[in-house]
Amino acid sequence: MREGIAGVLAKLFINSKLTPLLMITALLVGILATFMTPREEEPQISVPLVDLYFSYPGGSAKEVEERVAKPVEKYLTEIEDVDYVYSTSRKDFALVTVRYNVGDDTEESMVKLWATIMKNMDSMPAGMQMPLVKKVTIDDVPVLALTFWSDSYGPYQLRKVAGQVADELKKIENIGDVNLNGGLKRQLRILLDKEKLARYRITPLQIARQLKASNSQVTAGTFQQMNREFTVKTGEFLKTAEDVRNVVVGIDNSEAVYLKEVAEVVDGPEEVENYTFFGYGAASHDTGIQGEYPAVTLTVAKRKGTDATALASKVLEKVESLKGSIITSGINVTETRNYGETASEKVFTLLEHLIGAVVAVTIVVGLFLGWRGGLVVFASVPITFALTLLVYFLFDYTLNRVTLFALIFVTGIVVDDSIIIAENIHRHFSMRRMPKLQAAIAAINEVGNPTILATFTVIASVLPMVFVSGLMGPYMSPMPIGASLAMIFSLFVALIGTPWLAFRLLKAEEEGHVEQYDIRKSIYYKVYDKTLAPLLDSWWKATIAYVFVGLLLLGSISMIPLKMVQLKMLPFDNKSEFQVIIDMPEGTTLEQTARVGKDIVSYLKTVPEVENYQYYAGTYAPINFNGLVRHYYLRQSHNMADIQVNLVHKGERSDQSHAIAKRVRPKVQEIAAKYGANVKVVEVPPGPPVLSTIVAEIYGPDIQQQIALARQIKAIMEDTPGVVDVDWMVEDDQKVYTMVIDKQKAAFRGITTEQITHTLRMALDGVDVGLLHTETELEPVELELRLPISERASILDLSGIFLKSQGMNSLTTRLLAGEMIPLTELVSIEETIEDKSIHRKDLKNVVYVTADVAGVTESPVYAMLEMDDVIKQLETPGGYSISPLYTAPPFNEERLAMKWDGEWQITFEVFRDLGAAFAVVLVIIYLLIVGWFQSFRTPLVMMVAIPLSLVGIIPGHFFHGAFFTATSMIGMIALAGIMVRNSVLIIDFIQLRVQEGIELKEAVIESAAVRTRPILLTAGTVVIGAIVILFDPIFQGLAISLMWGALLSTILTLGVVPLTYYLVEKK
Amino acid sequence: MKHTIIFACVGLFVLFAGCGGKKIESTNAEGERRTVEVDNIATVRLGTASDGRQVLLVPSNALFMRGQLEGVQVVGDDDTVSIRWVRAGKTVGDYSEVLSGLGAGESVVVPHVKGVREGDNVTVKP
Repeated sequence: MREGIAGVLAKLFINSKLTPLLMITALLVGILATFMTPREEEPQISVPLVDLYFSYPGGSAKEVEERVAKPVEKYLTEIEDVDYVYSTSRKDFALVTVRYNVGDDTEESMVKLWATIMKNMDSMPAGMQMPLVKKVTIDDVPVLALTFWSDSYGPYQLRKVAGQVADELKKIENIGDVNLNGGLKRQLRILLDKEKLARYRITPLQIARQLKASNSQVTAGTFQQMNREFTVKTGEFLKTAEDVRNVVVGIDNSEAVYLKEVAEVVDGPEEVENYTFFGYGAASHDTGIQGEYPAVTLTVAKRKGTDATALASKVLEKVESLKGSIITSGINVTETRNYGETASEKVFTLLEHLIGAVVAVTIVVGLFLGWRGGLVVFASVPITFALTLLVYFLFDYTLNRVTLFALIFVTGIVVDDSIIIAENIHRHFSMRRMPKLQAAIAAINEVGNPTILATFTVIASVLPMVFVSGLMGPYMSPMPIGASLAMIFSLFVALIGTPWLAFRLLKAEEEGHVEQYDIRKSIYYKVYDKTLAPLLDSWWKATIAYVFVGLLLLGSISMIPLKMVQLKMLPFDNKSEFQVIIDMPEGTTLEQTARVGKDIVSYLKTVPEVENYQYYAGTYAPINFNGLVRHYYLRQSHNMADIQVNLVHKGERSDQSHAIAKRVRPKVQEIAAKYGANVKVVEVPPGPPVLSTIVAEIYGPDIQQQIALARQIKAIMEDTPGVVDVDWMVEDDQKVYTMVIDKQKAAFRGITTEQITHTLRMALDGVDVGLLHTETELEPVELELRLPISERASILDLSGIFLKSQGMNSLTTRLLAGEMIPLTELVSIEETIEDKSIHRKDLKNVVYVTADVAGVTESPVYAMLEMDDVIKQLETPGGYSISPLYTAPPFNEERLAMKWDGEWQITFEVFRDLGAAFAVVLVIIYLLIVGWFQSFRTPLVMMVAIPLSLVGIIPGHFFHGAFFTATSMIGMIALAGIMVRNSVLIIDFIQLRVQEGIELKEAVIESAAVRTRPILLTAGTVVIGAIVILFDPIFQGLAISLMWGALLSTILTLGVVPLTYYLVEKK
Repeated sequence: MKHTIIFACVGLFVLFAGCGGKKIESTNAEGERRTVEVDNIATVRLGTASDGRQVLLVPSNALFMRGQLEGVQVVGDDDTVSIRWVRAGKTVGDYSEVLSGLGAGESVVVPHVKGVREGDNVTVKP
């Protein structure tokens, strides 16, 4: 008998005293590691996104594009590892977003980026300011949001209190960014009085200059006297509103003019720039509280690699302790987001699933091998997982839904090694041919080596998934790594621990039962003798069998083109929140936007599952990972509002969040349509976030043509059933008044263009002229110089605004310096349309049309295919037709072209990479088996089983009415490994029997019979392990793949593989 | 397995429905649509400012402050009140210019009444 590594190991450990100690140690460290590994919901993804803000004051959108965006894009694409460069050029400003290859070291990328920007600073236009470079990381996403709301206090006081609380919270260790959304800051507003300014002959510019000049204090130096050193300070900061009021801003008729004489100084809240409200929904337990309350939301982010749960509970404890001192009565604090809690919950649910799976598997094994056999297997699983969790901890992985998913995924597989070994020991014990110890070692020797090989085939099948690229990569990679680790540990446990346990726990058959175990008497043998033997004998029966299997396979595959099973990347998770994003036409006032928000909210709060809501008009709601990638944190205009809707805990509602979002959407859209608003109901995507589920990128030679095509495509999307929330990134026309300066007149009066522009900006937008140097305030208090709101409405008549001539200094006039010149003389007003933003992606101008899918089709691919037909019929100016592209943008931009992007792009990349991974898997498995069996033909026989898994998988999805998702695909790949392993076990045994001198046909039937029990057992454990996750919305696909795939393909494998092997080897 | 889940769902639904029912009752007991009598209901009207531009005017005493926010009580078609946040501009006599938040022809409570909640019914005092 050959003696392999397995036999050697078993001999060494089967009676060693070390074995139990090793097992217990492994278990203990594992448990320790489970509690020490940080828990969080999302995996630690380094989204290598960097935002670059380029400010180029005065530039039109087109100019910004040409002078700033284009050159910047060009040199950024030269950087190694840059994946995409997007840019948006607006008036005065360009935002360039750089995306690196996922998984790149962010620090290194930042250094490269800085170096490149610095290198090219000299070619940037004069007047462009230093760019602001902001790295976007997942740790910017707040894990906790606390909404402060009150019936008796306004947004100003609330912000003050929240600010104090934020300051206290910052002292907690491991806390990240603490931010406030909503509320009003303290500001010292200097409201100019036009009439008085004219009376005292003072101009706004003069006031600004005086204020800046008088708000100064420096240490003048030191002097020594009598052996001591004294410091001299000069000047004084403006500390109070009174100080500001008493600043001398000019002289009129040889008397000092104080600021208070020409302006009103208000110390208090800034002008209303956002409306943020909180309210309870229909599902709230505080039924007495209705209506909505001014609110400020405090958000807490965590530091990289820390435990969200621990941080959240510490923050909450701190906030609780501040109640009564800082948080006075009348101010309520409601937890409106707690990712710590959800992470903990998710982790524990998954751990529960894991334990459930292990218990279920044990019961199945117990049914076949008796409770002692079940116990042997049961003991081996926790040790395997304990070791895997230890490795997670050591390698700085966190416990999140992906790393735990890896464990659940392999539960049904890791027990297999132990099962095969325990089963064989059990069989050998029952055969009673040898003494117990020899029997055990012989049993291990017999299956040990094929088990090692089989384990490696399974590892070979999952490991190539590491190479999934793009944003989906970090979601996928912990899975193959975790699964492979678990497989290796399970192998060691099976070879070291299981024999030790089995040797002690498993008993030979009872004394009375003297009859020798004979395979020929088993039911398996009888079945094979009836079914398989005739096939081996007659070629036409065999042919019929093959045709039958072939038809099954074809029938299953045809379910995909027949749309009986639909493809979707990832289904929606059951979250407890969603957002409503409101975009009003550009130029809408804040109050109008707030009104739409309020109207939508008054519907949403009647939805029975809504716990509470907040709406933020003019500012953004606390962002999530999705918002981070979509740049929702830039949503701070008057025409934008976000509604955050929190649902009751999923245990208290029957509908999943996706169903609720789908249900409210039509009504929300109906309200929005009344106001001409564009509204999107945004859910938290289960996988990597994209700009939108469906994105149509329109390329072309000319922006007007692109917009025209975009408009048509937008109309097509709106008409397609199942496509919802259609929007495009083309702004509405916004009326702009341009004040045209008569340069000649201005020169004659000694006025510069700069004076005029600055004065007007001061009047309308206000300027900050410094800080109030108070010592008690936490947030800086700005001094803002501006016209009062009531005056600004009539700015266009310009009456009463004066400028001071610079006199001879200007070299263009003979007027006396200080002569008051009315602005009306110098400017005329023109009405124009505001520049529209110019979007570019990878150096090409692009217009985006975005949409989501819900209802009729849940998968964007089908909606896209449907729209393709309509889009192809569109007429273009050049007379050619547009055929949408799927994989790459058009090669050149001479013609109009359209490419689908969004979720499709990721789907395409993932399935492409998984497909490639699958191909690699097949090659590696082939190599492994060739190495083992030293035959080129045998491996092919074994791999015949791989496609058979489709016979189970695809109809399985059909019966469950589920989507074929990325997790289904992972299940399918893993099954390839399992199927080959089964074949290996059968064929290895056939060869063993043939070597022992048994005739081939008999050996085939016997081996099939002998191996049926362990193979059915392992398939059974896979099925049982998968049932536990069948009701998880995301992992459903995996569960179905594993269950149905394992079930049907195992049955088919048990027939097809021995048959094929026989036909091939018969000669 | 599936049966248990379905049972659980049904059970939860029943529980849930029960909760909802109770809730509506309690709101009714407490927050029954009140009817509030007000002095007058005025219409937002279109005026012309001294410089010739069109402006929306409401009586100044219709405006109220809540914290730092300025609002009016708007009376809807079905005589129910809702609060609308507005931005007020110049004051002209008894009237205030509304820069944003209201449309011409909308009705507001004049003078505003403290303690009126959204959803209350209003009638004008005889």
